[in-house]
Amino acid sequence: MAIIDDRFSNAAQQLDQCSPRPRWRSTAMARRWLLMLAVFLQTGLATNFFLSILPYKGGTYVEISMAVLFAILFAWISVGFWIGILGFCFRRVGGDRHSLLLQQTEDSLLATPLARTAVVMPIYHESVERSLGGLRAVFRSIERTGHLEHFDFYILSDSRDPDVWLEEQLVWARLCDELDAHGRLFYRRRTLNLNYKSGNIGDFLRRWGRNYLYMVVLDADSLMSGSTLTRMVQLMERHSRVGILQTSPSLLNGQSLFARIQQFGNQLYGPLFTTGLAAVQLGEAAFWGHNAIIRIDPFMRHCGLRKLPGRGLFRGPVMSHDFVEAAYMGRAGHEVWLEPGLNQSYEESPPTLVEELTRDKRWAKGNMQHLWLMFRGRGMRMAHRMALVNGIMSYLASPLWLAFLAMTTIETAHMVLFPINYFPDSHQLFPLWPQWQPHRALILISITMTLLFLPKLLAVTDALLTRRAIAFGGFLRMLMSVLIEIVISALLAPIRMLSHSRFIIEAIFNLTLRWAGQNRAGEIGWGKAFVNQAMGTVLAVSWSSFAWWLDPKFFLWSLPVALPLILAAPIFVILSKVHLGQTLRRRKLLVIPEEVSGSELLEAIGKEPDYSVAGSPFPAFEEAIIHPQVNALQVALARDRRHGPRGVHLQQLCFRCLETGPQGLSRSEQSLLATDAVSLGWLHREAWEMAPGSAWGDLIGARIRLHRVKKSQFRAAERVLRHKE
Amino acid sequence: MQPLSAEVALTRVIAYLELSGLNVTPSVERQVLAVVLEALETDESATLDTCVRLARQRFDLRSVAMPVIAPVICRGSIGYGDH
Repeated sequence: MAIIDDRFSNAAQQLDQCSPRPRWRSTAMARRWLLMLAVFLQTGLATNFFLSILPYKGGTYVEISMAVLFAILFAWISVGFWIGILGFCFRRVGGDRHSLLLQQTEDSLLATPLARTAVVMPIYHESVERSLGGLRAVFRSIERTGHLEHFDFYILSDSRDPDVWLEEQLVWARLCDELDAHGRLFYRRRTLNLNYKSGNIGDFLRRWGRNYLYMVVLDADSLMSGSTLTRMVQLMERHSRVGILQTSPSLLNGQSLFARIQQFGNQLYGPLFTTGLAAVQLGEAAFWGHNAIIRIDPFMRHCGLRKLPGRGLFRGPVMSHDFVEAAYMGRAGHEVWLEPGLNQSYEESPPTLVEELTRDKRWAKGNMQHLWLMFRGRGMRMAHRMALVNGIMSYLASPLWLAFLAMTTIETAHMVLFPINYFPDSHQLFPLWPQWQPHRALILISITMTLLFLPKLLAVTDALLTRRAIAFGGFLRMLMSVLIEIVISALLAPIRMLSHSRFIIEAIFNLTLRWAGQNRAGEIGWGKAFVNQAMGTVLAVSWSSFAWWLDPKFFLWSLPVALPLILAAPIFVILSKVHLGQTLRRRKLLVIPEEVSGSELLEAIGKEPDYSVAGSPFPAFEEAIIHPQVNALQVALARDRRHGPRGVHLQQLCFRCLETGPQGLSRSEQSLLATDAVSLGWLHREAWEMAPGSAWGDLIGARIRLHRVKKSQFRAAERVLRHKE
Repeated sequence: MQPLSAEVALTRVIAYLELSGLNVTPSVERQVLAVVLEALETDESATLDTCVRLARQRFDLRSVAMPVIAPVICRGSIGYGDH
């Protein structure tokens, strides 16, 4: 411990002794000014052109509003465009010389000793098999590097459902045995969930943070290779100013059509955008909450998140913590780097659009909360404030686009339904002949499309030049996959726009959102899809009908937005289909390098053992009471909670549970019982003595039958094996 | 036909022992039969619970190796920087 404390203070001293202004800062400043110049110039020209298309050339309030909205939206996509261009240029010249990886040689990194690092995985009602199976793959990968002794692993659970957290505990214990990770792989479940994920991490840091110099945060679907993790620790050791080092996680393991499209786009276009983004942000990058390494000491000293003191949305704990923590790290004088060169860092896409939108609902609210910090947060660096703007605009762009469409409709209705105003300005001498300029509108649309799609074409070019096309199925298949991706993205854009607009309105009115884990496997049924998208479909039908009534030409203009919304339910269902994704995969469409060339991590999660509760279909709570070995484990993990009045309550629950079976208790009552060692032990003993015909007697009978079936299956398999030998 | 209470007790005790990780050999089966017989002689109306109780006493059931759930706590605090 003393060694770690010394390292803490040494790191702080080193920081103080470092030159006050690192060299990258002036480069970052120059690049950002250039980016802003390009964006503003481009936006200014485009907005001027847009005004020339409008009937009154910006002479009415509606047109002025349209122009303002257009300018904001155009600037937003222009930023993305220039980031992509920058990324392409940097990749062509072999990377950014300021990046941390390029500042080090292979030898210097290999010669750098590692330091104590905690790999933490906060989970909340996630698939236990997938999340802990992923952690197992990470553990094995680090083991293969020969540096396992520097790493400890923590499963940090916030799960409330007893069937989930009891299963987590069981799988954790089995992992400890399987990996021989006793004393290296730990499990902690908070009984009081405060402040979401950041509260969970904070709880870990308060208890064990001082034992480590670094902490790697993984999401439930994260995968990182051992070589990448060791390299990250070495980079942190070489650069004492760096507080957070963020990798750019690639998507993998997608099964549904939707997930496969997402991961293809992410893997093909992602490197371009992250290289560009990293080149602009340099040491003032954002933290994305996972697949990153954090220097624990400054994080603990500076990155506590106070509750917001405002009203409504701006009151209470910070929901989207990562950007804020990066900003606080920067405020304390530490650097935050995004390093696109650190590969073999992965996460998964939500399997369906419904799941993606459920996640976006949380993120939209969390990002809107950042408005308070952006304006009221003290001492934060401008780059980090801009990162907050970036996060806010990711969702705010949608209602702005919707407002733009509404303004366009008002403008058209005004032109069609009301008499033409030849003198919109009371001081003008000559009449104005209002007229649409559709050919100029087409030019503007072409320019906008170029901004959106040119970076994608550059990513394809980059893949060809770096001979990566073969890893995407070959040139022709890659082009086909890009076409599929572009068509689906165009279809999804209006659906996302409408949903995000709803989320923003909900966020502003501070409606309560459910904070739940992703469904990482399921498909969507027709009923759920229609219910989910009914409002959007009705709105789109009404809007396009109105457009048709106004002017058939305007109706045609409305179709690219209205049609995907009308067809939203079938789009949702088709995209969620796993067999469609797999069919395209067999034809080598939408494939990614890890699938073509192989990946030890992907194979490891594909071969994960059966971690389902004792290999049985019984819920974990029942298994914790019935199965003698599982019960012994759960009793050992529980505490004696029978102090004071709670003891009486627990005994009453025990009697009720014994009489009625688990169905007679609510989830929270089951959870309470499962945390009490005395209750678990008592229920186990009593349940096995219950006669057939009683609730537990029947459950035990069913469990015995299952045990026999499994035993006979096992013996049959053994016979087959012996026969083969 | 309803199974006899001794039959139920025998099935349950053997399953309990197997689920507890005990290898049920013919010798173990003989011991279980002795337990059932003893239970029947003790109290015919409560054969099942007596059998399970006796089985727990008679057999050396493996205890579960408990992994270290967490290291010793080394308390720290989260700060808010200078702001």
